[in-house]
Amino acid sequence: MKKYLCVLHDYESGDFCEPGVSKMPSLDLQRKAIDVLLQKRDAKQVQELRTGTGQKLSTTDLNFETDQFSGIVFFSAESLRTKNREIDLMLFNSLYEEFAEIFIIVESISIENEQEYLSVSKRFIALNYCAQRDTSDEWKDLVSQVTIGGKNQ
Amino acid sequence: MNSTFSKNGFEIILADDLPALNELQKHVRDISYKLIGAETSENIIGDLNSLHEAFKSPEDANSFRLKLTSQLSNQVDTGTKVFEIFRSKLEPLVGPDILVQKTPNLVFQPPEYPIPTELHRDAPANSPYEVIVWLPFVDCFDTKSMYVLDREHSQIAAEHIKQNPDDKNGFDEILLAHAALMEVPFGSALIFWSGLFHGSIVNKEGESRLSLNIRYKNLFSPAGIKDQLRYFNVLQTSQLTDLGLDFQHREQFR
Repeated sequence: MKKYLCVLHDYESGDFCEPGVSKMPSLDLQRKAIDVLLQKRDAKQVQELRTGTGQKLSTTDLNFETDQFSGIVFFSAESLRTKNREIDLMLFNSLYEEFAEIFIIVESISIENEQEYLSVSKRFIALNYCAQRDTSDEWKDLVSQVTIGGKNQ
Repeated sequence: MNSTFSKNGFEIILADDLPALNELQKHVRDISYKLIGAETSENIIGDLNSLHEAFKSPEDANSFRLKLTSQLSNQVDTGTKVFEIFRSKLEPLVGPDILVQKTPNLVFQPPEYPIPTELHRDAPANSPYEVIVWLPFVDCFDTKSMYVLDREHSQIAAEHIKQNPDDKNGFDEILLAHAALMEVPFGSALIFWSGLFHGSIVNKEGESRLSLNIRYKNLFSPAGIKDQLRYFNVLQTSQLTDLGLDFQHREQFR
């Protein structure tokens, strides 16, 4: 039976930030979702880690023997995000070096080979560029210039 | 190309690949009839128009819709298929690096069904850089269809809400005066910008409406509040983007 390290995300209580989702997923709900995935893969969880708002996973959290795990299961990519919403690519890369398999349930990400890793990793690069641009003052200034009724209209 | 879209924020477009659309329609009909346990006929559109006869309550109809959505998503890569069917109109809008909504929404609107789609616009919270494809599997007209407020009047309506948040009557007046029910025959689709107000009313036409809606945007477009990792898959990337991302990846991790 395969053994997995599982990572839950402790969301701040309250409404979920996206429309259509009434509340933040509780830790129990996250465990249930992870159990479904583990059952499908005939696997079991042997260790659980937890991240929180502004507290993504860090390589220092993996201060134990990782060889015993077939893979790592995240409930959400929130556990990999920095404060400015970028995915921590260095962390993601080091996870791939440590674990043969990476699953992220909410985002339906499944990595079991190098091709899948490269595909997801490159998407994260594009995503991070967008996050950097969208939060930059230069972008906000550009939008205000080209918006109807904006500086240049 | 797409000058109507640019002015109004919407356009009714013809399928580039009608045989592929016919195949998708047949697939939807076949799954639907398997779910309701009824025999199909030679008349696919007739079968879909009369789907409502299988349901006694809105709850039954909604349960059917959810099962149909799930089965269609499992059996067909709908996002790719719809894009291919309308590629010549969609690719100039979103560019060659494309994200597609992970799971399309299926809407089943039986006659007199009391819960139409409420008036809303997708952006915000969705990105204002998205295009929605509304694809009916039957001929849609009058109340069997959906309505949109064009770009100009969506902007007027949005301003009205901003200035007069409690004036529902004033908002309804704008809606009544300017919302247009779309005539979208099977074989075509309504594409519209995510910033347009849209919705539907009770279907009074005596036939079922079964339609699909799905969103496309550029990989590099601003995300809006809806997280692109959660709601969108990469449909395709250009050769140049592939080279750039490969270069960036090697630079970071070699």
